[in-house]
Amino acid sequence: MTLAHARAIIPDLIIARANPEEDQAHLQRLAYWAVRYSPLVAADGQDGLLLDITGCEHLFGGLTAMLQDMKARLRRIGFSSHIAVAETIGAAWGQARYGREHSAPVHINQLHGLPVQALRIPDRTIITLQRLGLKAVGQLLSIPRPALARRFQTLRSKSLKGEDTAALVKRLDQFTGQHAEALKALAPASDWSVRHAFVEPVLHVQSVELALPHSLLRLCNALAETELGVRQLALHCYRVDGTVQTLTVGTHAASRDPAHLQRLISEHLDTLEASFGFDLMVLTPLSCEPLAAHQVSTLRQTPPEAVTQTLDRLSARLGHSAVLGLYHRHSHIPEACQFTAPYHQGDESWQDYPDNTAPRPMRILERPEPIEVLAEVPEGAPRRFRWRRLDYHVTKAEGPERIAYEWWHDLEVLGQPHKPGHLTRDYYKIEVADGARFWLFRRGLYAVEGVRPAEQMAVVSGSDDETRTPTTQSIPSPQTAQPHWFMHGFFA
Amino acid sequence: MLKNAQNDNETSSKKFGELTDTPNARQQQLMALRADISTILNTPKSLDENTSRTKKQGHSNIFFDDCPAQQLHELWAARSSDHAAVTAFALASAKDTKKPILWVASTTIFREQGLPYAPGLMNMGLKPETLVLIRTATGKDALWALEEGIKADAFSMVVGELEDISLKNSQRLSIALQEHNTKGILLMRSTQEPQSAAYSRRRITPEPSAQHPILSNAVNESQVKVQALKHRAGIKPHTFSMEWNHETHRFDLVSPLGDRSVAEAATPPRSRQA
Repeated sequence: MTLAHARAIIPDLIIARANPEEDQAHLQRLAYWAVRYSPLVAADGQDGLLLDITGCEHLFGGLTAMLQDMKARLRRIGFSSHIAVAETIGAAWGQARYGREHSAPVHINQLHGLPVQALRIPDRTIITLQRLGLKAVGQLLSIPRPALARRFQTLRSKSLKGEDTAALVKRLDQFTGQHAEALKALAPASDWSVRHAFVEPVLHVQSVELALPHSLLRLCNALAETELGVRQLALHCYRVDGTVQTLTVGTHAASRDPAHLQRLISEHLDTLEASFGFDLMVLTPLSCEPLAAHQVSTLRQTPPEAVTQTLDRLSARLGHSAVLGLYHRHSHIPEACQFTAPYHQGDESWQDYPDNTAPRPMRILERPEPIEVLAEVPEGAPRRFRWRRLDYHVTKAEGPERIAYEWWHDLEVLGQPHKPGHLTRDYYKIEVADGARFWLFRRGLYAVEGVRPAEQMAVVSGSDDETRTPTTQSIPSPQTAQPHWFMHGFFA
Repeated sequence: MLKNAQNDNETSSKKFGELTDTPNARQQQLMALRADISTILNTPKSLDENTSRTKKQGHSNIFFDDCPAQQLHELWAARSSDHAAVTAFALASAKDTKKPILWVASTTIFREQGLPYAPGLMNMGLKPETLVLIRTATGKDALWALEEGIKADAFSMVVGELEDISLKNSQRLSIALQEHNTKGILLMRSTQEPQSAAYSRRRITPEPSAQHPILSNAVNESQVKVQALKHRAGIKPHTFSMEWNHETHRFDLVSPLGDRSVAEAATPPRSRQA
């Protein structure tokens, strides 16, 4: 029936636009909320949730109590629900949608009365089965398998409701449990979690902060027994309206110190919003590392973990990409052989650095800055240059040190006109009149009479990878452009 | 009768030679000596004249005895091109420790002045693994990171690159440093002299390097001019030049006497009489 028909029947009908994406997003959020019952949760289609509650019933006082709690909370959130528990996903799916509600798990044998729609099969198959008079699952199970397989061979397709369907035999096997079906969980299950349920929903984040030390102590004691330390810790706060607020902190070294972890979490607690209140708080380590017990010294020395704890605090406040170390990558290109990455101890990448290179500057610009230079062609050192709107007069110069593109990375480039990143660089160490020492380079080679031609550079319109070439002319054919000079580093 | 010893100090040797003359001359000599002493005391102390010190240690450890831990030291770069010299000076003081160095700067400063370059640090004798860089979004975050690093007691040196610092913040850092065992160094990049409560302030500028004996066009070892502007221990402002020694990885004092030609004696040297 169309909207006009419906409005004709009931004039003051309340109408709302359907928004399938938002509905799906709501379902995802609800699935994250359902993690409070079991770590293995998946959203099922457009209107269902699938939970694997093996081994979780005792936390809620038995299966019946757990189901009642689930139903009550969902009702409080605003959802009416059909909940079913069975041994297989197929059976649970069918029972929830087409069966009567039981408060206890039903055995598969009791589910033979379910209609064939309870199997996730395409509509055409259902119509065919009904025409054949097969209306219940039990009837299908009594038919020999080869006959069914021969008759109902369907490819995977989506039914009208968008549910995933498969061949009849496979679905039957999944129903009875002969074919294993796994749940694609939303969040990975971790080995440890500490739960703290509040008697009444807490409205203020300070209450969470007060409850943290106790939970952290329990977690750290549990980890101490197995000699593990936390690298990443997640705090999940479950709200009464069916959503979850999550906070993750990371450390530079495995840590089991409750005070330290508390400080890291407190840094970010303000980002949690309680709205109608939190009723459950769960601490879960996301990744652990072995951490042996060590002797605490009574002397007033700095403990060995002082460095990593300080870096943890700095990265908690400033962000993980703020605490950096310098690491080595094998490359001849100067700015490529060093990269910054989040700091970790025990790095030895610089031991591979070749020690026969020419002296390198102490500071280097991440992006070479273009400068205007007066120099002798083809390979003379600069005589005067202009950098950051100041003129410098060169008194001494060393060079050129020739660094070419690493042709072995891209063999097709050989013989082609060069892209700006592929040109040869001539580096010069320069001293100016007042004593400052610079490291600058010319990108591209001039022609030398009788020795080599100039480096052919393909002029591309738009900016190139290093800096914009001032002489961009949008001519598609390759053209020799003038080499350019750049400032790269500074010596003492 | 005292024979005078032959030494370089010609004026005083001449005076001592006249010791055996009349008491009047003795008085004159005493007054001349007193005048010398008063000129020495009144002129700013320069390390060239401070002979006892220079004779003891001819290298830059003199500076670093005056740059003690648990205090805040400022190294001021007045121009953009001075900043590299300031960096070298700061790094030269922290090579002998096992603890890491905390290097704090904001993103703008790293973009303008560049990142520390590990091959260059290795040339200076510093292991790049000891450097922990903190790249903050604002100057305020940089100050907070400096304070956290000082309070950690786990770093050998905490270096902050800032454009300016207020008196209150520098006092706060100084107070934190006094209670914790680390060295605090601020690399200031500003055109005006920073006014802060630092323990010592030095202005560092690069200088033209010495002439290479073989290649006149070669860039020789870096030289810097250090102007000590302020020191809480009462050392008067003085200036001296230092040169990098790539073998010992240290700044050495540039000796101004190195190149002098043999001066003609005012009076012919006396011959020893048996």
